[in-house]
Amino acid sequence: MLLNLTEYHRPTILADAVHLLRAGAGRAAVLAGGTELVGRQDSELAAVIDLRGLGLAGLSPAATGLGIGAMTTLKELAALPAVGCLAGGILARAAQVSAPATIRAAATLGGTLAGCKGGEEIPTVLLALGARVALAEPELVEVPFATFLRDRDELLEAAIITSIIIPARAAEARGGFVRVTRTPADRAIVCAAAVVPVGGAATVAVGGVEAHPRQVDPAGEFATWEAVGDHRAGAEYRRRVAPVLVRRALAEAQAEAQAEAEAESDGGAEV
Amino acid sequence: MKLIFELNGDRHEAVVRPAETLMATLRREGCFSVKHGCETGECGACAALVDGELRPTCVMLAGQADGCCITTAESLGDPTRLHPIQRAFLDVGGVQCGYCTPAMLLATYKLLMAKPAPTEAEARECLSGVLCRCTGYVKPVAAILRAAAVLRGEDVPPVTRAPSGPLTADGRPAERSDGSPGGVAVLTRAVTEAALETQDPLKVVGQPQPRVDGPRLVTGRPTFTADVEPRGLLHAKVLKSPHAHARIIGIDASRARALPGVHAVLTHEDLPRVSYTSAGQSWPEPSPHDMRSLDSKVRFVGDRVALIAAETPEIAERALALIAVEYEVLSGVIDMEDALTPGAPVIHDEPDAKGFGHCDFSRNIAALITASHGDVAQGFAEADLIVERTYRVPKVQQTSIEPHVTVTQWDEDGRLIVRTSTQVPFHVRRIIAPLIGLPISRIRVIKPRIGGGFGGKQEVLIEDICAHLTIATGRPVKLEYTREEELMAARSRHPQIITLKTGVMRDGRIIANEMRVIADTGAYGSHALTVQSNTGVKVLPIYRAPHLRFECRTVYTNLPPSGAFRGYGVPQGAFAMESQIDEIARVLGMDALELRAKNW
Repeated sequence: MLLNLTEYHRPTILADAVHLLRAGAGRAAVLAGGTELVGRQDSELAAVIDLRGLGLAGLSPAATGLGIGAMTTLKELAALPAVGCLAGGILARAAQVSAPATIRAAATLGGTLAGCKGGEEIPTVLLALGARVALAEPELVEVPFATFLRDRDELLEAAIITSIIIPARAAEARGGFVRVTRTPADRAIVCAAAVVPVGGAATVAVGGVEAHPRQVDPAGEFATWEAVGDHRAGAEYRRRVAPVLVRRALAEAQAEAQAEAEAESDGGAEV
Repeated sequence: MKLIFELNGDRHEAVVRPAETLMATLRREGCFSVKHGCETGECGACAALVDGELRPTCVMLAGQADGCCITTAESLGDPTRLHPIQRAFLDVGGVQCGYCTPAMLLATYKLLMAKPAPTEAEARECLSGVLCRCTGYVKPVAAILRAAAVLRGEDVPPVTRAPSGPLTADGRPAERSDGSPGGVAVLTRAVTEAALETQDPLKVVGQPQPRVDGPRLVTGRPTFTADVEPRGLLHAKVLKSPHAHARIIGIDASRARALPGVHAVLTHEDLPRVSYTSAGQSWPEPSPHDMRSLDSKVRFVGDRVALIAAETPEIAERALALIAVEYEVLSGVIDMEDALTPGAPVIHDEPDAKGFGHCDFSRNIAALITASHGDVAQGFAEADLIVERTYRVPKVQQTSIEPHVTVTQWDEDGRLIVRTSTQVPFHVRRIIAPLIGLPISRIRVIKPRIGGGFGGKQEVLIEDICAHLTIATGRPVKLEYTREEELMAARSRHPQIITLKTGVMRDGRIIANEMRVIADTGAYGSHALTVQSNTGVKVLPIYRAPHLRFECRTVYTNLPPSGAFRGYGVPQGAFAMESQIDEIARVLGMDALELRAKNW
């Protein structure tokens, strides 16, 4: 119950939305899909700022890659052809498995990033993709994803996520994405995303071991990670399963490369 | 704030509070098919089509629907003119309690409008996010495929057999060609493929019968407890204990009572002290009478401290914070073995707790059971081998999608009407009578359709709360548990620690079997004796042995109370026993099925 919510704003200008957030002095919140915010027990929240009218959904123009608007729902994210093509479709898959269909129809990319608590699928994949987060302060700034994860709470006190930008190089790379869960429809306990650009080194990210998703050296050691356990799996399990998932994610990306190479050679010049 | 939206084809204007959820708005507009199952959008019972998307409305603010087009199950059809999707769900028996049915129907409608010929995988995926505790999804998926066939204009034979697999020409179950064992089909067979006998109106035995309440449920009629709006309805809230074990030294509700919109605040000082059990059992209830509507002691985090009735749930929630309570915090126990340790805190030290059978409050024992057949000591002596193992069953909840909800009001003849989501209306009437000081002849209990119970509603859980508040205010009062309250302050299966000691001969014959159980009944002992009696009595004799022994201690802990849950003690015992048999087979090097057959 949002016991003391008394103000509902639906600005049509992005700068107004940011000013309302700052004016709220900690008692205003941005409302995207609402699936997390409206379910809270919160008697502090006095104002919500509905972002529906700001045109932040769908693909957005970006000079340096593929821009995806923050108000894009997870359902849309899983279905957009441009997202399905990038990096072997790992972002689309991550979106598809991250929540049940009813929640996906409402939850947004921006909302997911603003509220992610641990090693969820989407932030892990975005980290591996080397994504950047565009924020309105209200001037637009771009922040590397790892920086966003580190400074998120502070950043979002005074800024609104407008879009995520996937660099072109990552978009054209091959990808692998693997996770372990208690049941097929559950959230990830641990997940791993591998992005292998054509002729480049792999970037691998693991979520669900430490408090936030982290990039790893594919041959790296997990024993030193500060693993955090919860009721779904203990720290030791997460530490031990992570390298297995990294291996599998990389293998998935390599298999894609293999398939591409074979397809190419099949269509090769006749002798 | 003003909202303009289209609802089931009609333009609606509504004035809503900023904090109001779309679910609350839709129910206020008369769409009772939109149901409360949780507050976090996870169960799907509140889902509606918003601009064509199936979204949970309990996590949408009403303001988010401004300018939107909303469709609820009411628009599909009415009982005189069912939509083919509604008909299909009824025909295959895909509706049990009906609480999740409206959401499933909308999901199906959305799927079939876009994909007239869905695969089974697509039919399954379309129900993602709509949880059902009753059916196990097999029949709903069959219903979706059948509805798809009907909407495609295909000839669909009537259902004259429960769909459970392919049939041969003479109507007997066919051998599965993939070699998997019979029983639960991994893939659903569409009913359209079944080879069915022609219908004879006098041949009803073994044939599916249409549910009497089916049309009501598939059209989302207001037929559940919360689907009434008596004029002047007040909303109840319970102030819950933050401590696992504490005495209430002082309680001051004056500020809460002074809050505008609050009509009553009741503490233990306002109610007569009458001991009872909440267990829904025949009189004399075989559970200790160790509860009061309000007590001066709290025994688990979530236990009742005070009761509030106010004009809105928000005012009631605010009033909770205005009740000043002084607690003397006591040390408590949350581990059942600790509860048995001599010197452990005594949870029921009140002089007016009435035990049943071998109850020993001073040792935290809610029930003590021993039963034997033959002499296990002799059996163990004769056995070639003894296998002793310990099994643990955790606390699991029934989690019916509809929470506990009760509405009470006076009728025009001075009788108290108790409309409640219960499995035990007669026990409710008899058990609350002494608590509220009314004779049974002045209490009328109405049990509407309930959205699942599974034993969780074999309990007189909250009816007394609403009754007390209606008596105090003269007004209708509704209490509806949140999902958090369900998890915190309802009932669950009895967790158990089961030690099985089995004496066997080398050839696999069981000579002696002893089951020793410690069960955790939580803070109050409802069903403490009877559930655990079942654990031994219904399980030990399954495998024949000349010497059997069952011993159980059901203990109190400072945890939410355990109660009745479908299976009623047998799932715990059966899990242990079947695991034990497998263990014995492994130790003996015998086939586990052969070992069972030897001892049936």
